[in-house]
Amino acid sequence: MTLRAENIIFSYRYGRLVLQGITLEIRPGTVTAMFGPNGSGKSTLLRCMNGTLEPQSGDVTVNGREIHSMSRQEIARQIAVVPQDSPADVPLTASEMVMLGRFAHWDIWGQEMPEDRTIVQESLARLNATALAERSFGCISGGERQRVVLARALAQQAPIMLFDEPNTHLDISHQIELYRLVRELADEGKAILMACHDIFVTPMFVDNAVLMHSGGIHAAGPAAAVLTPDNVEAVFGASIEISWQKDFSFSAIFT
Amino acid sequence: MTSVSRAKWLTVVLLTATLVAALVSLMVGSVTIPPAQVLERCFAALKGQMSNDATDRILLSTRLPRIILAAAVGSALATAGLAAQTLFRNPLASPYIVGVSGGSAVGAVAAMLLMGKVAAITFAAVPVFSVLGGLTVTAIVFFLGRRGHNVGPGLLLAGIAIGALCSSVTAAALYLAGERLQILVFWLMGGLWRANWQEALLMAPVSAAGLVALIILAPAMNVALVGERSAQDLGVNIARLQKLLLVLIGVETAVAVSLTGVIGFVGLIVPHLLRLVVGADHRWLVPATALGGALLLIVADTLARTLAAPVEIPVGILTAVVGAPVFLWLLQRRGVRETL
Repeated sequence: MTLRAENIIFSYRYGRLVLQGITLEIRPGTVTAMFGPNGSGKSTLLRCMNGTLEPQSGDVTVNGREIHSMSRQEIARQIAVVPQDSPADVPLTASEMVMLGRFAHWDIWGQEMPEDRTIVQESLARLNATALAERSFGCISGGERQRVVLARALAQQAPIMLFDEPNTHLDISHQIELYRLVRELADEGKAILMACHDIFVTPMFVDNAVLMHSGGIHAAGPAAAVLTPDNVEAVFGASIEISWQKDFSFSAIFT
Repeated sequence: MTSVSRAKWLTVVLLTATLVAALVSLMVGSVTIPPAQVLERCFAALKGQMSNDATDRILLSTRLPRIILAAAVGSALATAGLAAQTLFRNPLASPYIVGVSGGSAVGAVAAMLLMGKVAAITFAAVPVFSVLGGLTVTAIVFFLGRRGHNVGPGLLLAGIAIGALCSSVTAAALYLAGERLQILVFWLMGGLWRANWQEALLMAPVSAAGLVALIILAPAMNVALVGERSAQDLGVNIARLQKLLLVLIGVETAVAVSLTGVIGFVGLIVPHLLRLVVGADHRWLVPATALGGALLLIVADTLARTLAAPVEIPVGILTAVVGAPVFLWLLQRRGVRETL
């Protein structure tokens, strides 16, 4: 499944132009990371790409099919979203929360099948969250909640996954775990687009990087070619020195 | 015990309790009829064999339609309350929150004041006016919600504002009512003393249709618990769900209020009470709430007509007297956190 945005122009009502003609393609088996300062349009682009916002012009297509011709349920079978934040005041247990990921696959009566329960258990296990299954979603920590929400996205079994700053509530070891999982999912054939702030750790795990600036794409391509000191300074206004190693890791020094 | 087996168990308990309450309610009143005779007469009537004596008239023409109306109104108000709490993601929401009851009250009061002054308007027109008032408010709120693109706190406030406007109109009408003040006040307090087969057979299908609709919407309502944005991501057409819930709340409440006046508390407390017991899964919560609402109103109405007989206590007073202590007890035991 390929997710493609073509020449997306978007503004909120009475607002300034948030996206100014973005073209972006997410292919199976790849991780694309989207960087950019706050307000550069990353989250808005993600919401356009899963059809929850309708751009003023431009098309979003899933394998060539116009996204706005699909029902919400059809879209959710193709695209899973991991949001930045999830309200904690949800009166469900963690496993009930993950079960919501199966909604996209249900018919009108919403009858859950034994296979749904298996998928929920597997998704929780993959996130090392089996122990949380019967805990109340409102009573676990922010990081644990984020893992449950991730498990929910896995339970959707969608070939395309969009992550909106997924590491916000995670400590460094859970962040690395998350990136490894994202890499694994891409290697299994999923197409992944991830908005993130962390230009230091993320590049090690991604195939492509997109650097957004004021609603446009400043640079796109392999991470090493995109995250250059010049580009980072132009977009973030932060002056750093970057040296890339062979294994895609790099060190950065603030100057 | 898992929440599913607890929910199944509770559904059976609620169903049994509702049937027992209905049986007891058929037995008691100005004339006490023994249970065996109640069952015998009811089964005979089902076969079309009516003796048309005083016992049959009390049972089949007075008590039975009243119990059916109580069950249908209780279930409609309780499920509409649950729908409102889910729609607004707000534990304080009740079926009256969007101003529907206010609109119904204005309609009813208008009809009562026009009675005798306009030839076409008789007491039979009161429910018609009332339902029109309630549906008008639903339509206004629906329109506001559509323009605002989402059903958030804005719509809640709009509903409260419309409700306040309706209360002022009602208050003004009461002030100008003169000798009709008493029937107006009595109507507004809510009660089932006017119950007849016509009303019961109007309310029952509305309740049943609402219940079926909510059972179908239950999985989507579960997803809606996580907030509008995530619900959309998970495959729910949230705008359509919100419109359906709003219409459902509006119609169920408007019809119920037009037939029985404003009966408080059922729609607010029953969903909370059952959420404490069965959890937040709407696939169980919806049927449990419908049964709980029916049970509460049958019990409250039976008390309303027997406690101070031959005088009737307005049933709205008793729904709170019966429901509040049970609710507070559960709240103490299980904690506020789990209520929503």
